[in-house]
Amino acid sequence: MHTYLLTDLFSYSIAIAGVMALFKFKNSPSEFRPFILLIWFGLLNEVISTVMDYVVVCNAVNSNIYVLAEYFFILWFFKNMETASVKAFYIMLAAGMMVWCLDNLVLHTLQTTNSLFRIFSGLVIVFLSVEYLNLLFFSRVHHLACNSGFLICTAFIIFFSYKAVFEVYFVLRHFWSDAFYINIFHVLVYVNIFTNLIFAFAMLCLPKKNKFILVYS
Amino acid sequence: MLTEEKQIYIGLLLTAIILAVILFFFLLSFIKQFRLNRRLQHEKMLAEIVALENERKRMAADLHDEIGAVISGIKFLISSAKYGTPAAQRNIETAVKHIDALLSRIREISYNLDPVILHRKGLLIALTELFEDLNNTGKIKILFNYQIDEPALRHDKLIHLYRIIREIINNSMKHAGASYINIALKEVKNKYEIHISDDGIGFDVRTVHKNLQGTGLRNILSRVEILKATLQIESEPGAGVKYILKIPSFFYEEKPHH
Repeated sequence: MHTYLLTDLFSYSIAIAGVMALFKFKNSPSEFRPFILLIWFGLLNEVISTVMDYVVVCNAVNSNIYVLAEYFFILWFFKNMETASVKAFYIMLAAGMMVWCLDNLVLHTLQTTNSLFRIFSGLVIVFLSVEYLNLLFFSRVHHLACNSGFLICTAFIIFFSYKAVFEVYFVLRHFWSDAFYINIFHVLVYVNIFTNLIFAFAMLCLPKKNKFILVYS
Repeated sequence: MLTEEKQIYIGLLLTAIILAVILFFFLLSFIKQFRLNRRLQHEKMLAEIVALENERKRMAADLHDEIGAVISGIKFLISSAKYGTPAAQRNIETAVKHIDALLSRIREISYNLDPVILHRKGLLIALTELFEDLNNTGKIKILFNYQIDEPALRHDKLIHLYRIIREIINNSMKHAGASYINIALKEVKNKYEIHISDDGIGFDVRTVHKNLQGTGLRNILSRVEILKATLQIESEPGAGVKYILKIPSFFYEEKPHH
């Protein structure tokens, strides 16, 4: 019970970035807006999950819907960062929705935590993050450690790589003992905290919106 | 459930496969970005050099056609002025001499900016004339050998080859203090090879290569890259310099205009 509460509490580490985003939203460049919306949506999902855990003892429905929304926000973010073209954005979104429908409506139900879409979205997000980081390395950006794009993508790679591995283990859930799954879930919790802290730092480093002055005004 | 050993093997295998896929994608993406970056840099450099050549052509045309024509007109007016006193006659003759020198200098600058002869008569004749002019100064002895016909290089590439050779000669004269330069042009296995050696003070190739900012060598290397050629530099302090430039065959597309 104690571990369960602690895990629940840790999942709220996203709130740090969420609160920072309140102050940053107005002055942030438009390309980072999907990321801020993702943080708020993540926080909202944590609240809903807590409520669902206490009311119906299962948060699978909202989690399954959240992963699709998360995938959309992250794709939108990469489209804004010009890592994915508009065409690639729509193709990946359509492919994601098809995999989601197949996973949650055809092969399984919304009431169970399904892994297929999570593996797919995790790998797509890691690939896009890698592409963005390589783009950044060759664009000779100074102070990478304080670059929001770099921090966000690094966090994505750490979290979603682990998540993809984690979900593959869940697909083969009869191969290992329950204790093993509990342990790898606990590791995911710590990876999640670490990722959320990087998100909070990225929020601090968020650049300000460009101000344009019309010379004839 | 599987045995403990099998569980470990399968777990490791799954993790390794996923990480390998991510790593493979990282490498693919890195190579793609690296190539894109190189192409962009090459295009940027090419655009800069093409802009520079166009600007030189424009300046050469302005100098030759406008300023040169006006000065020639002034010379004609002064020459046709009626002499008054002997002093005025001497002044007019001196002024005409200065104007002749000025016109000659303008032609020289205009030629340096845009060597018209290169486009009209080709590389070999342009180089022969250039070396003759330099030999006539008495400051240097240039020996020019070629056992080839006019290089069938694309017209827009010829100027780069000409500039590379000029820059090397300029470096040998200005920085190396050379008194003798040997230049040989030959065709070896579908490649044009240009060998240039001097008897100057030489330099440490590594040191010069590390510090290319603002040197003529940087300009040479940019043009070598445009030609997709290779440049080998052999030198040691006190032992002169030897340059070997090899130009690949894929630029042999059209004969220069004669």
